[in-house]
Amino acid sequence: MAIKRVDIKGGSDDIILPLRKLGVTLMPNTSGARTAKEAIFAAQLSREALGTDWIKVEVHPDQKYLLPDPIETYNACAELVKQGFKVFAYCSADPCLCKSLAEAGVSAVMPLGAPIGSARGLETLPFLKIIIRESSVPVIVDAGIGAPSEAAKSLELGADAVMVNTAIAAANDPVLMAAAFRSACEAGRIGYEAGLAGLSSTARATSPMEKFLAEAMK
Amino acid sequence: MKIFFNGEELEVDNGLSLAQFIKDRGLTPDGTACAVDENIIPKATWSDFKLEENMHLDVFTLVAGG
Repeated sequence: MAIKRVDIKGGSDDIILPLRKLGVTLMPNTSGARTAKEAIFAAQLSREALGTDWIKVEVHPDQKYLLPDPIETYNACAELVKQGFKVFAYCSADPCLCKSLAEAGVSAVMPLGAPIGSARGLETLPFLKIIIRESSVPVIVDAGIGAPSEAAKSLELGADAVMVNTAIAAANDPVLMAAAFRSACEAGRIGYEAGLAGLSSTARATSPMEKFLAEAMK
Repeated sequence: MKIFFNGEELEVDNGLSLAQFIKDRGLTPDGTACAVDENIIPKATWSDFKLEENMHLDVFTLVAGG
């Protein structure tokens, strides 16, 4: 959820109360912030509004691609950790940045697969693999996921979670698509726990066939 | 008296509390935050916090999305 100035003409979309009734944990973010200073203020307002110290830090000064500014994101995260927040850092799929964020004390890193809302999938896959392999904090693949198969792929690789909005919200049937993502996440996670078979550039027979055919043909 | 509410001039009663102002706007404290000159006013103090002439009050709420 994003913090916004209320409409001075009154009224609101009254979304808090129905969500509270579901008993879910509401996660505020700093969407709209263009600098670390703005993100810190948004986090403090969100904490006061919702009574939670969880905050997803997003700092994207560029409105065309909404890519996170790494320096402002890092500075905001480091300060918010000092102020006692549980920080979830939306960031580029940059293994060095993710490592620095983890060292600064964030609770999770949220590297992007592709620009927000683009539905282009895991375009940063080689870097996501490094981040997942090396991260000391949970990894949530965020942004760009457009299909359930991409969520499954993320969890299969060992990501701890995915963050999905547009792919569900903009589907013809959002409820059905949400169910598809749930199944995909479960399949991906089970696949990860089961352990993927290693890749091979040549065929590997699954049954012993060296002698059988040759001997039968004699 | 006159205050500035999210940047716009607004006439309110003298001595109006922040808690009453929020209630009059149809907002609930849950999901709402207030700041005066970028200083956040803790919810627990809203009842005692009196609005003053020319005060710059910003009121925020949460909306779905990121």
